[in-house]
Amino acid sequence: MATGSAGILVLIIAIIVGTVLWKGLPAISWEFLSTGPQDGMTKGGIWPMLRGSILLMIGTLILTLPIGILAGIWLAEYATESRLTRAIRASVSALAGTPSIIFGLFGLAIFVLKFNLGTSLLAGWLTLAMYSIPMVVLTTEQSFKEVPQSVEEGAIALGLSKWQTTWKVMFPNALPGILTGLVLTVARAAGEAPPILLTAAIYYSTEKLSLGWDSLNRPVANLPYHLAEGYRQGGVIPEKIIWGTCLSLMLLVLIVNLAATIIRARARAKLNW
Amino acid sequence: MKARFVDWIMERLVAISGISVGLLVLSVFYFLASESRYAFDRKFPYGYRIALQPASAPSAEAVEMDPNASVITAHMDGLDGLDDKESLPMPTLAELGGVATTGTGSPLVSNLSEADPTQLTRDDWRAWKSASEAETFFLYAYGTPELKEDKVKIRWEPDASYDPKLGVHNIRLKLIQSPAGITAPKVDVDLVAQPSGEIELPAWQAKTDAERTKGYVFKIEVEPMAASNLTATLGGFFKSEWSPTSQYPKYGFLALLTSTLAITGLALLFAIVPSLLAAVYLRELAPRRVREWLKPVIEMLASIPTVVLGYFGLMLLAPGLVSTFGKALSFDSGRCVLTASIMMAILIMPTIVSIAEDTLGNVPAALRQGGEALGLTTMEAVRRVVIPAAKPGLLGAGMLGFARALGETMIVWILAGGTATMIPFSPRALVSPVRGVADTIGIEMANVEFEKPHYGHLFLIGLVLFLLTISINLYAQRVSRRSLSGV
Amino acid sequence: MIVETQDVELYYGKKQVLREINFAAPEKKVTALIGPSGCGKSSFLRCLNRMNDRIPGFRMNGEVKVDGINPYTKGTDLLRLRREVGMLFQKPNPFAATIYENIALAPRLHYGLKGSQLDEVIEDSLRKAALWHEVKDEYRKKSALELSGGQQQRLCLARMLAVQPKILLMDEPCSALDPIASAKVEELIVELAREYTVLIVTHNLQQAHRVSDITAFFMLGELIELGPTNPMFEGPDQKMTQDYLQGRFG
Repeated sequence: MATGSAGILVLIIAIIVGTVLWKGLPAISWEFLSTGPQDGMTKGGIWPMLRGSILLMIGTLILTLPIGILAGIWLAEYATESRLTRAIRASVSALAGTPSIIFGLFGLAIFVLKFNLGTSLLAGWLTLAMYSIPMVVLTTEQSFKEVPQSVEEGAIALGLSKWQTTWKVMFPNALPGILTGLVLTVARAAGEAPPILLTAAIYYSTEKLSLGWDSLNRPVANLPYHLAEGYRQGGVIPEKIIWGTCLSLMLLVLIVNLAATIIRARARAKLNW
Repeated sequence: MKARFVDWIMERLVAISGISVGLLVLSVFYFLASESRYAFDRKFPYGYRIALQPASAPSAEAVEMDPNASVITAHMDGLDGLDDKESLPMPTLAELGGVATTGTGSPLVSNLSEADPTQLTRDDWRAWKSASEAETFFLYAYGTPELKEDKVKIRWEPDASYDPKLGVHNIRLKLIQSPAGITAPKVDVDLVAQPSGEIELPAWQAKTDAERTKGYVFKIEVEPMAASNLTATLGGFFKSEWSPTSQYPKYGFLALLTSTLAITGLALLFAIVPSLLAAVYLRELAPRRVREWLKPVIEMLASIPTVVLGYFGLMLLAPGLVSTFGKALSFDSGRCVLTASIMMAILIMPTIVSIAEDTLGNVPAALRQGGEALGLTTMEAVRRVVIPAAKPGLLGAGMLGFARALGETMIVWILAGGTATMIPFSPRALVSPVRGVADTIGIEMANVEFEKPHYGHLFLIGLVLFLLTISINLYAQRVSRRSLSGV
Repeated sequence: MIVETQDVELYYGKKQVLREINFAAPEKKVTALIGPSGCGKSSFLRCLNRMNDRIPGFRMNGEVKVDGINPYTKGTDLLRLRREVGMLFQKPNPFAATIYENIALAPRLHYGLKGSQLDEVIEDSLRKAALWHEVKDEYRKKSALELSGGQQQRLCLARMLAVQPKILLMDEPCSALDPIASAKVEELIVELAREYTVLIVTHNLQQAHRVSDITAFFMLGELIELGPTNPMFEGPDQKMTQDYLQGRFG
């Protein structure tokens, strides 16, 4: 029975991934990926949305990286066991389980309105970074904790200072885990519609695509929001294009995911603990 | 020296990062709470149609916006084109000639002595009051020279879509002046307790426009019922009707919460057993190699964007359900509680499997071997030894899955049907179209005026959702930790 | 006496691990610390370079002098002390880096060595650890994690020697190695005693007998007997030591 359940799960995954592939593949072509929508979304491709999603992903990655990793290091290596650190650790993991729509609301209140960034790429980055940071902190902490204590002791016994030990010895050991966590989290964030729904997204803009500093202040079209809003508008976008868009989004996330999983597996095999 | 300096800097830098991430939870809470304050800025509308009519007028018919009625309703500024400057002027007797036999109008002032008989309006009661405000209105009622009958009646009923029970004010209708020489019965009606009705009065005619104020004068007294705007807003919040954009907005959050709970509960019901079994398989039965590739594959399901899952459900699951069970259960739209909860179950399964599998792995090997040493088969050992030992952690896994489903936006948005009505307490619930908490925020925030009550209420439901998921998460953590410590 | 302690008492929380340890080890000799497991010999070794600090509830009283410095005095440069006192652990603990990087890390950070100077130190350390001939062709490229267990332990030894310590603390360095690998490490220890002071915790009485000049016998948190190895193994002063050496417990 247990085997059957696992089998059913795998079957469900196969059905979902298979269907999206089967329905979406015919829509996908180089032209589909590289041109913009035409005739009020009824024809053409998805380049602006794809580009927007990639932009959101990269910016989020850059913003999440330093603070997520530093905070993770603090929890793993520096924070002494106290009521305060326990509370912080608990609240970080509670935040990691907080619904993405809550971060959308938060981003709307603080970045869009309070900091007056408006609905913009920048506000979207910041919001997605807030959404990603707790998860990155947790995976970073976990990766540090997985480094055997004996390695840390070895470094300390050589007379290395705390930061030298952390940075020169622990960090390289923990790096594969940290990277995997970071990439998985950011990929997941890029697939989420709710946080950017309220902070960064625009359904369709006829503005010419350009990339400059002022792009930061402008909203971006992106894949998950395109699908969400496409649903709200009800049947404007032809089914074929929707499946194509679904597939592109899924592939974007899964490819990044797969890469991260492979990095982790190879590093694990190499580190061998 | 340099090493020491770098150490000093980095120690502070990581501590600052760590603590600021810790503070993130507080700032999320703070901003949700602080934007929720606009919910409490809300004003409470009330609306009645009140008219003097000939006694022979049919009582069954609604008090329409005919020349006789003074439609006393509340309008949000600009909501239906009527605001302070645009009150409909009461037609003069000459203008009414041949059209109406009675008239009701109110002065544009709240103090009777300042009333100008030539400045009467028919649509006057712009009552958006905070819960603690009081207000007084006056109504002049008279017959026109065309009135032939010797009896008239004052009729009142609530404005369409206004539910007096949801109001937060006491509203009374009183007769405070009768025309000279006429003895009228006492009129003192509680409009909340008796939202519609009529009382017969002797007829009286105004011969000139100036005389219109000399006839019957009614006073409508509006007094606060609840203690404060806060309690009144919260009172409205814990009601079961959500219609924030109607003329009389209702922010009854329970309609959304029960739908969300129904979908989430059902999803957990569908997901829990297969997930736990799959976890048992992964940890206890699967060969190491199978486990090593199977776990990432299952976790991959968790990373498929939820909007894609939503579309999958919409295009395939919903039509499938309709064509299979549509006749038997008599529903024709696949967008309902059942569809959403099936998709939701698929969404949370990997979460539960993954955490449950970790928990099973944390059961001390000694315990497991102890079971096997007693001659139990692997499955028996799992059932009698491993699962009881891992129980708190498995519970925690279920709770984390529950919390994940509780806050899910896109699946409910796309699959639940989007109707913000209270879910029925019957098997029909399964096929009812509903709207949940998280998706409501996503759907409505796009069209909302910032820093107004509706906006505030969306933050308020966000705050509730946040507190709910955070408590479940914290509790699940505590429960799982108990499991990890091996008790 | 290069290592000396007076009335050392050690606690983990409420549990007392060591009581009244008065210990001394002479320079450039091998001192073996023996005793049944849980007797506190490892804890004692680790308190000489303050590796116990990170254990929650750790507390210590008494006087410790290592190369004339008390590591527990406020203001002691602990990092400097740890350069003087190298440590080898039960389980080899190479860093996830190349062999070269493993050894280069500390000299580079501590003494700012680079280029040919650094190369020299690394080659020298590898030679001293008798690893040079096995890895000389690939030590710049090969990951330390790809070495065998015995090689890894010798790499850790080389890594420690590259810091130029005076005193080497070894916490059961052969316990995770096979007999052939441990024989090699044992040989090295004898070799190293010409230049360094070695304190070695070991479970293996024969090993203690073979490599050490001085033996300290610990039991239940107390130092029962301390003296030259050969006389002790032939006829210990204390009954308890005799029982232990004859395998009555532990």
